[in-house]
Amino acid sequence: MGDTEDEIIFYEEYVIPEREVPWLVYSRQPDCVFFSHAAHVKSAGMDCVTCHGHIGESTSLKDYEENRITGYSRDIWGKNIAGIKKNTWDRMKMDDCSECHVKQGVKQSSVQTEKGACFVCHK
Amino acid sequence: MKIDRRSFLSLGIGAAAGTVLSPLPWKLTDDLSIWTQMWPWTPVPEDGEISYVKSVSGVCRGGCGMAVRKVEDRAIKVEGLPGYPANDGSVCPLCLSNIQLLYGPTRIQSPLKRVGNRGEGRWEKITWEQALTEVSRKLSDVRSQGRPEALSCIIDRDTGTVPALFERFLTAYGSPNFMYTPTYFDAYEVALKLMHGVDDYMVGVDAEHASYVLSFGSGIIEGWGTPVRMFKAHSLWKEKKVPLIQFDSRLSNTAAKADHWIPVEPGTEAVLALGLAHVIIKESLYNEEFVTKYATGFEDWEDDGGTTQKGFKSIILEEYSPRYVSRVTGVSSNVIARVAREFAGAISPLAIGGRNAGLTPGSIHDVIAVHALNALVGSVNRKGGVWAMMKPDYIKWNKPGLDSTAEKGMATTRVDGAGGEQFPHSRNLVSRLPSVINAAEKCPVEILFVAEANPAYTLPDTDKVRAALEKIPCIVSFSPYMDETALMADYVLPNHAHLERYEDIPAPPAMNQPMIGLSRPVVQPLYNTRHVGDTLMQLAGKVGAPMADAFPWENYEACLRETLGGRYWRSMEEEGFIANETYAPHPWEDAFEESGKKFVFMSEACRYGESGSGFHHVSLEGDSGTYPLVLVPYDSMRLTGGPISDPPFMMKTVEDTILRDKDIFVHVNPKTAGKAGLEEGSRAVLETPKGKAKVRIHVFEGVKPGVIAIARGLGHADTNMYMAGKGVNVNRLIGPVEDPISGFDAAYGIRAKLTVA
Repeated sequence: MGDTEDEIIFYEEYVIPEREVPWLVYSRQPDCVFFSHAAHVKSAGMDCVTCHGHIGESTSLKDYEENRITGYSRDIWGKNIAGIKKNTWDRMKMDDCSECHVKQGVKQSSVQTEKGACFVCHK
Repeated sequence: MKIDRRSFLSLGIGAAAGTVLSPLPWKLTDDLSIWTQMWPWTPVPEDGEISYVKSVSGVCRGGCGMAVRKVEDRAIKVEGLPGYPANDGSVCPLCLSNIQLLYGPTRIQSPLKRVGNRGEGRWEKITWEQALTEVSRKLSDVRSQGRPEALSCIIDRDTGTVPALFERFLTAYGSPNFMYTPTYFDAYEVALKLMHGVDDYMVGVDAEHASYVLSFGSGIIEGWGTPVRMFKAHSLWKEKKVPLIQFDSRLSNTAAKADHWIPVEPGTEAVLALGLAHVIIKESLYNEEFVTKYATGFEDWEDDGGTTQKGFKSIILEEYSPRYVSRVTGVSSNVIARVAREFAGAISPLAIGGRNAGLTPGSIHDVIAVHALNALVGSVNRKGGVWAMMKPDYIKWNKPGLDSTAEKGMATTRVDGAGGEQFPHSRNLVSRLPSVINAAEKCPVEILFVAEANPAYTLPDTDKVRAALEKIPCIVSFSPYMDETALMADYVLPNHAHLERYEDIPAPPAMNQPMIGLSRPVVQPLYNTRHVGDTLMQLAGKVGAPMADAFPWENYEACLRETLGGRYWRSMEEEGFIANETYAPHPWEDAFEESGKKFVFMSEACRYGESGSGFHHVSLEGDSGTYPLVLVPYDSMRLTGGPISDPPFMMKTVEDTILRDKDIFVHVNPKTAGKAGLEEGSRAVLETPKGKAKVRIHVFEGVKPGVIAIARGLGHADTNMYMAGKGVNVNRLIGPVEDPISGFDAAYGIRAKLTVA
C-alpha cells in the first residue's frame, strides 16, 4: 500500500474512517428512466462504442466532472455548451435516446394501439 | 458616455440578440429544471416491487378488462387487459382514471349519518355497528307495520351477484320494487321479448363481421355499447372498407368518421328506418327465405274474430312512402332509395339504433323499427347481424323462503308500474318513480336503498327527482363516492371502491359472446368501508328470521365463489374472466319462441294509434311557439354521463367547445344563431319547459338549423372539487316522455329557446 499518492488518500480518507467511496456514475440517469443493456447489446446488436466511445482502447478513466446545478455527470449534456455533438457518444440527453430510437424504428406507435414511444423508457 | 435614445435602443437590441443567440440561457434552463427535480420537498413516488393485478372494471358500462400496475401496495396505472374479449389490451378513459377515484377526495371514509338538512352535507361519523343497528331498526319498523313493499332499491344495472343480492334482499323482505337505471339495451330486451318471444335475453351485435353498417344516431365511437370494443370494431370497418352510414342530427365524432353522414331531423330515426323498409319491401329486396319461412306478421292476416289485420308490409307500404319519410326526416327520397338498395344488397348488413351512447332507453318503436330493418334483410341471429343472446344464468340460488308478510308484500303491484296492467312488458321503470312519489299524498316509498346508481343526477328532470327524494323518509346510500344522491341520504354505508373489491361483471352491453369478468381487489381497502354484499347480509342478519335465512353465506366472497363454482372460479382467478369465444346464436329454426316459432314483425302488444296499426312517434315536451328550437343532448368519450362523474384526468381532455371555465357551450347552427343575434362565445340563457340555464354559444355548422345540442355529463351538484358547478346537467333541462307501450323514458330532447343574456 502507498505506492502512489492516490492510494494514500484512499487509505487515509476512506479505509481508516470506514467511509464508502462515492459512486460517481458517468451515465447516471434519473429514476424515471428505465435502461437495459440487454435490450441494446443482445437484442439490437449494438456495439459498445456507439454509446461509450473508445473507452475500450484506453487504460485509464477520465475524471468524473459533475454539473453542480443538476448533480448529474457532465457527460449527459456533453462538453459542448450548445449541445452540438460530433459523435454519438458525446451526449446522452433524452433527445439523443429518442433520436436513435426513431432511426432504429423502436416502437414509435402511440399508446392507444400498442405500447411504445414514451413508454419504451418511461415505464 | 452619454446614453442617448439611439445607443439605448442598440444596446437593448444587442443584449436581446446576444441572449437569444448564446446557448447559455438554454443550457441554464435545462440545468435549473433538473435542479428543481432534486429539491428535497419535490414529491417522489416510493420505489418498490412492481406487480400487475388482472381485474375487470366496474366503473364503466363496458366493464373494461384491466391490468393494474402496482408498486408495492399502491395502484399506479390502469392498462388494458390483453386477451379480454371486450377490450383486448385497450382501456376506456374512465377506467384509465380509476386510480383517481380510488385515492381521490370524493371517497366516503366511514359510515355516515345525516345531521344537517338533506343535501347540506353535514354528517356525523358513526360506527358500522350503529349504522347497521339503526338501519335494520327502520327496516324492522316498516316491516312490522305490514308495508314491506315500501322498501325500494335503485341500482345501476341488473346483472351479476350484487344486483341479485339486492333483489333477494327485497324479495325476502317482501318488496317487488327492485329498480335499476335502464339504457337502450333494456329497451332492446323488451323488443326481443315482443319480436322473438324470448324472455331474459339480451341483445348482441356482431359488429366485427358486418359488411355494411347503418347507424341511426348511435355514437359508435362515443361510448355506445361496450365502448372499447366498438372502437376496435370501428377501426376494423375502416381497415376492411366496410361502409358506415351515419344518420344523425349532429356531426358527432362517429358522423365525422363515417363514410356518409346524412343529417336527419332529431327523433325521426325510426321513420327513416321504416322509409328504408318501404323501399326494400316495394322492390322485393328483402330476404325472402327469412320473411316467408321464419317470420309472421309480415302479410295481412285474419284474427280470431275474423277481422283482417294489417301486416307489417301493408303498414309500411301505405304509411311510409319515401315522399312522406323525406318530408319528416329531411333526407331526400333519392338518398333513402340508394341507401336501402345498398343495405339490402350487402352480404352482412347491420343496422344499429340507440342515440348517442345509448344511455336512455328511448321509444320501443325506435328499437322495433331498426330491428325490423335487420330482420327484413335476414340480419337476425346471423353472422354480422343482431343476435338475441341468453343472459348468463350462473346465479342459481334457491328461492328465499317468504313469510306471510313477505308474500303479501310481493303480491302488491310495483310502485313504478312495471309489469302492471299498463306496462306488462317492462321489468323496471325507474324514471316513472319520481312522478309517482310526487303525485302521492303519502310517499309510497318509506326506505330507499341506492347503490352504484345516482338517480339525483342521471334521471330526467332532476329538480322533480330531488323533490321526490325529499319526500322519502329514509334513504340509505351504499355509494363509495359522495355523489348527488349520497348527499340526499340519511345514512351512507360506504362500499369499497371499485379497485378494492370482488364483484362479477357479466354481459357487457351488445357484446357478441357470453362472458363474465371478475373484478377483484387490487389494493386493500383504504378506509373504514365494507363490501355492499357483506353489508346486505349483515343487515338481513340484524332484521332477523326469515330475512337472515335468505343469506346462508358467510360473506360476499364466499357467496361469489359458491355461485361461480370451482371450475369457473379457478379460470376467472387465473385469467380474470371466462368467455365462450365460439358462441353462435340460435339458428332461425330454433331462435323464436312464440307464434309458431316465428319472428314477429308486428306484435299485437306494440300496435299503436286508434286503428291499432301504426308506429308511435315521440312528440317532445313544450310548444313550438314559445320554444322554437329543439334541444338534444350528446355524449362524448371524454364525459361519463353516468352515475360517476369525470375524474380529473378525463376532465382535462374536455374540449374548449364543450366547457370553458365554468360555462357550458350550446352548439348552434350559424343560421339559428344569426336569427337570435348570437355570436361565437357569447352568453345566452337556455330555457326549456323544465328550467333555465346560463350558457355560452358555440356556432357550429354540424348541427341542423333549429336544433341545438348540449353535452351530457356536466353540471354536477355534489361536493366534488373537480366537477361541481362546471356546466349544466342536461337532465335538469329535459323531462321524461313516457313511451306508451313500454313506459320507458322516450325523450330524445326537449323544445327550447335561446335568448341573449
